Amino acid sequence: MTERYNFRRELQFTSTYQTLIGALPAERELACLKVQMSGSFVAPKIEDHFAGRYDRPLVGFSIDEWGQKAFGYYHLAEVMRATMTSSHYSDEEKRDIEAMIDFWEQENTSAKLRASYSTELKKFLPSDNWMGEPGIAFPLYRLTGGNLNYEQLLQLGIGGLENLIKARIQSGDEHEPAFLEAMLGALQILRDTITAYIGSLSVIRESLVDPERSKRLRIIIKSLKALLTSAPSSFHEAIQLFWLYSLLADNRNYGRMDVYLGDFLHEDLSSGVISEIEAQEMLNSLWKLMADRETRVHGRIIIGGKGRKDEANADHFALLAMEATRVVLAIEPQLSLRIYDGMNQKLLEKAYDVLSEGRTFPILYNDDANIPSVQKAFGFSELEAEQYTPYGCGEYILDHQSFGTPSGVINLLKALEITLHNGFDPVSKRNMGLPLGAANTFTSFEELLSAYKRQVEHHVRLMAQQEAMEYSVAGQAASFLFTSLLYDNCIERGKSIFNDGIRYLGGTLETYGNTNAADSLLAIRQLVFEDKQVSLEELIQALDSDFEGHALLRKQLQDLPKYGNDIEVADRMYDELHHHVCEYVADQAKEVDLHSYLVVIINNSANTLMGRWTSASADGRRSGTSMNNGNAPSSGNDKEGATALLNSLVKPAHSIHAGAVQNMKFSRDTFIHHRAKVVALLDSYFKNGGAQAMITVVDRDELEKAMDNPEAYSHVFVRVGGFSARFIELDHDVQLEILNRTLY
Amino acid sequence: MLQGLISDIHRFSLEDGPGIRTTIFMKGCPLSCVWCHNPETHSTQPQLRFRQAQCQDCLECVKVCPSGAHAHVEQHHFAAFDACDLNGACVSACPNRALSIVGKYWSAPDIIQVILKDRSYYESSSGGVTLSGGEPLMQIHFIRELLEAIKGENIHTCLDTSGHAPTEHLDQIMDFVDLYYFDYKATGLENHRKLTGVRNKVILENLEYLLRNEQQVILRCPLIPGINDDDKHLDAILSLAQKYPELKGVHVLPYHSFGRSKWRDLGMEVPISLPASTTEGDLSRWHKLLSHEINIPIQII
Repeated sequence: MTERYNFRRELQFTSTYQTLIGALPAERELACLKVQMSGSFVAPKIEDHFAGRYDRPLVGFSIDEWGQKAFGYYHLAEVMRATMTSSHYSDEEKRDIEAMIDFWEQENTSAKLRASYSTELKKFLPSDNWMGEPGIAFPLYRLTGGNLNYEQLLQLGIGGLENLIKARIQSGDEHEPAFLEAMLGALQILRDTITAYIGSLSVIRESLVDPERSKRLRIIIKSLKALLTSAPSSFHEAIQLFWLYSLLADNRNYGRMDVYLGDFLHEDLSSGVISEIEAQEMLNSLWKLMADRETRVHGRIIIGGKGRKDEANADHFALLAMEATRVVLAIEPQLSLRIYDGMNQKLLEKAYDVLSEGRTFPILYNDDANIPSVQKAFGFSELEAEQYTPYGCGEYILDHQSFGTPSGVINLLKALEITLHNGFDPVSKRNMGLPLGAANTFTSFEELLSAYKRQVEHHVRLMAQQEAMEYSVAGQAASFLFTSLLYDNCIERGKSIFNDGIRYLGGTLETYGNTNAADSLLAIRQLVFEDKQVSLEELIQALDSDFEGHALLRKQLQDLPKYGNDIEVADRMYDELHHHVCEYVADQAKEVDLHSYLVVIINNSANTLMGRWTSASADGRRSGTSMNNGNAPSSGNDKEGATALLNSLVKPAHSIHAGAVQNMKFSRDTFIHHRAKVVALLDSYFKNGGAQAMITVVDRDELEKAMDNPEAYSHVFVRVGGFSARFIELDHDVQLEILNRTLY
Repeated sequence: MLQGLISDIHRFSLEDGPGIRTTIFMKGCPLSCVWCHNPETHSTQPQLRFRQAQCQDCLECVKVCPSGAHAHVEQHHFAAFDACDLNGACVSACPNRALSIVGKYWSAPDIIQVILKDRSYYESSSGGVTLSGGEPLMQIHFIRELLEAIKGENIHTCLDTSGHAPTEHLDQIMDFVDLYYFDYKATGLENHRKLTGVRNKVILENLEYLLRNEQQVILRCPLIPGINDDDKHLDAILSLAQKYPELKGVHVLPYHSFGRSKWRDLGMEVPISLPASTTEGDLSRWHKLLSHEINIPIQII
């Protein structure tokens, strides 16, 4: 029988918070973190080379999300209630737990954020359930995607950071009340965590008979002890410190790891402290720790690229990192390789080797396209832009300098659907958008297009307000001590990250259905307004009936030009809408006082989940089926071959958004048998301005077999959108969407 | 302006020559190989294709066809291919994509526009354009113009040919072809006629003519299990390779039977002898018989 969950951490966390409810945010956060962290680190697994496994409490504090609407001060009410019914709890215990849940229903950061919405926001963002209800736009409750300055952590060590903060305090300059002192407190939590591990691991080691494990524990304990007194001086110590810190900060995207670990690796290898095999074993173990963390859409590690201080050391690390990805069969970390003209070709060769084995990693990012784009989109200098890092599903920030949480989604196809119904949503049978005219009042395509754009703009404006509000409510609630500590400018300014500590506070908006909306509008223009084969009302009627009795019309719609086939008219329509939404979103930054507010055309499985709530569309898509994925054509709509697809993909401007993802699926035969040709294909794509490529190498019959016989196919990995997954673990309709994507 | 009859244009083609290629499938062929998996390229005219498997018997085609090519027979759609006047009304009317017209006339400049879209891929992969078919040499005037235009763009060209054409045709295009994929299909005059409909005297003369004129030729040998993969033919392939050391290679092509349904869909009689796909056993036998010490690489593709 499993042990009964005791809720001790949660109750203690809650009472600490309640005691300090009126205290300064930094003091309250520190006290809460002490409680949270003292009971949440658990013993390493037998095979681990590092200490650091975290068991998240059901009430706690985090910068990122632990479920829908669970960030900042969060509580997982449903899990708690389910836990209560799974074991015996006395009435008194139940009362205490219920009281705790009730308290947090009002006090959790997401609830506070929603309570602060204006009347207009409440009206047009009525629901947070973006997966389970129809709607044009939804807020997401999270502050995700930060990259910490691990290089600073590893160079200075704990003591060095403490000295930095003490010096800042002694300077006597103005600072946020209690913030600097609380950061020192946070570092003490790190020390306490290390000390606790030293104690518990020493006890475990005493009773060990396995010499290998005993040796691993000895090395861990030695590193932990060293970290208490000085900055890391070995590869092992550096990884150990980085890893513990990432767990304490709940930082899920690891940034330019080859930069901050490359020198440590080189030093240890050249002085003979460790062998290459030992270094590889350590990285493999780190990869497993990351995989077990199950951040799903995060876990980014960036290797390669311009702007690294010691390229040779970093490249060496990058090769080991790719090997770790090859041998550790896991969907995380999301290893991402930045490439550029003139790079060490060994890295690219290794990348293709790993991809050919069906790993879906590394994801490739083209610096030669991305650096100028990031400069333009964000207004950064070239030197700054060299430090761009993709995080999560593919959004860009500057490594430990900027922030850009994607805390909103907009379904562009839904915006079109609701515009075609004069503000009414045929799925929920409710008025959901702006009423901008009945179908029979649009006398030209331009009128319809302009109504669609107004609908989008209206919702974008609200999402920008929501984004800014999310930062401001979060900033009032807490100082995010562990994040602020390793984010540029916070210590100098004496301010926490979301209270003016960060220099570049930006935001991003996830757009979905981009391709379907563009293809649909083009179809309407051609069939209704140019060829006059059908009236707009008749077309809408056919869409409302999901093409029932309109098979021929559906075929006509499908046969019209579609984005992704290198057909000018279709690619131009996509680009026009792309410019519209990207530029309108970017314009909102100044309205809500953010450094930037940019579109991201990324994807998780939102194209499928939101597609479920979106009716049939004029591109021929059936009601409830998946929408397009990221920057790609709708599944199966790219019919002219890989070169045509890639030619289309490079057309929409990259310099007006904060990241777009492109999935490409190759058969094993193509990728392995014709490797040189595929490499040439990708080489041209990147030279033509392609910014990114997420490559899955898989065979169609393998996917079909995996659907029939999942147990035998747990090794099959696919790229869903901004994250990878075991194919067999995906929902049926997500599996179908992937199966239907064109295989080259 | 000259127009060519094209059955398909295939971009990102990986099997029809070096590198990444755009392959232009020309319609019309003087041969009728019993194993052909592109029967839609036999006729020199556009033609109706009816995919029976797609048909839902809705009979919309019957309503719109002015020439009586579609009929309703025992509650099923029946296509009278010979009656079709290619007006295309049925293609638009069919909601199930069961009907199409194979073959479209293109001008060389229009094809060049498609070709140029992938120039950067030809450059990065040392690829180019392949004319295939059908037999491209049947449309000699058109392909001469097309090949000249492609070479004018400095793009590599490959001609995939059966070799069955008047030798003068080769003179017209030789300046514009970088590489020939030249078929060698059967051994013995009569046997060749039996299997492909024509004797191979001209074909062999043309092969020699090209080589004598220092053209780059790769011999392409489709091996069809039980049809032409006998020891005699495999020996003949080896002999040819020995006779012509200037060949750039010999490609042995395994057979797949994917084309089987196409015959019926085009209103053509499915050859009774249409064979089964190549098996692992066939491959290992070929490997054994063809692994001789000669200077030309023999590849089983």
